[in-house]
Amino acid sequence: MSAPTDEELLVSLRGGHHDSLGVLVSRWEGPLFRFVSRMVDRPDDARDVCQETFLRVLHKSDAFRDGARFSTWMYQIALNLCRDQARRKKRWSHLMVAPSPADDAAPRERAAPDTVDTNPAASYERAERRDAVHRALSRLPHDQREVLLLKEYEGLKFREIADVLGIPESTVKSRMYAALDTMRTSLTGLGIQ
Amino acid sequence: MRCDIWNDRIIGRIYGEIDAADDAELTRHLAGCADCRATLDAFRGIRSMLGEHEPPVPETPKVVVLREPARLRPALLAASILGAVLLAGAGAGAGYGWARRAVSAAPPTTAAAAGPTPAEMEALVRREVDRRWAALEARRAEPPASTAGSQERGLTRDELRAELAKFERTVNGARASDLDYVLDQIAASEARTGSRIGQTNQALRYVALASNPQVSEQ
Repeated sequence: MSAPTDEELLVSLRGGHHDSLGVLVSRWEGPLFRFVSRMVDRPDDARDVCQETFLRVLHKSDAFRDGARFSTWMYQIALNLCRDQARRKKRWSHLMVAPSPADDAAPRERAAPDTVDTNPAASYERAERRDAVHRALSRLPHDQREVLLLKEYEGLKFREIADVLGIPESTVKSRMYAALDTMRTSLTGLGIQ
Repeated sequence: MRCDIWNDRIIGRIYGEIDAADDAELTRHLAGCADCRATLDAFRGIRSMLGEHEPPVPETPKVVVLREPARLRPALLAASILGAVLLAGAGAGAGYGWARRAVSAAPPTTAAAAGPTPAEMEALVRREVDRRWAALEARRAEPPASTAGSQERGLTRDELRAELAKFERTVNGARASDLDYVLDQIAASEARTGSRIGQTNQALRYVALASNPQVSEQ
């Protein structure tokens, strides 16, 4: 007997079988947390957004359209929460001093190289490129970052991203082009060709 | 820029989401457009770097969603009441050593092996209090004998009343500290998620009402 699909689990959840949520959480908490933690700056915020996403899945399961994909719906919820979070952060930014993700993450990464390299120059260059890529990613406008993360790291099709964002597929591709173009400009500015 | 119309197809080719006809047209265009060829190469290079230097992800929390809040609150409430009852039982046992003797005099039950249930514990406390009041009433009904040796005679009515008041304060103190803990947990959880404040207030009122009969709903 094959495992129930996400959509079957949601129907079951809607029918009052709350254990189904546990299965959905175990399937999706990793990918969701990975995506959200790259959308928001702080791990605590990412955890809160993930928790709230699953709570909304639980409470709003009636709003799930038959025939839709669970993952699309889940990413929609999470993205809206990320945007709310970003708005809140912007609203309070004049009162709060938070370290940028690049400032926060880069020193630790530099301290621990990915691989043991016998060539210090090559190792340094690799670390430089990594930092530059992460910095360029963090500087992307929000709408471009959403598309790039969903495509590059979550592996969604352009059609699925369009469903998540509620925009035409052609707009998704335009944003993807813009995102890569912005990355190219940023990386060139950071001395990475 | 003249080449803007090819942007979607360049993206489609990079990610392998382009139909055959569009792909063939793009190939013809690229043959004569150095800018678009450079863009395609640059974007492929960036994709390669993105794959090679994937941003780090903090460790995924072990439990993302705790429990359905509607189920959580009664559970917390039950835990709160259970804690208060157990503390009350412990207070009764420590304060009045003979409570144990009274229990041991009762016929043993099979449930005793598994420990008293909250209802049993509450019944025990109630029984002890009732027994004290009965003893007090019985003593009042007795004709006054000598007033000497009051230490051997036991507690006077006022002393017993003071003892009971002290016992009640102990129980209420335990209840209050238990309630504080539960309220702190709920408030911290709600503050962290940043939502459901209205529901929290409602839940807090229920907890307060259930745990302290002296609080009335405004």
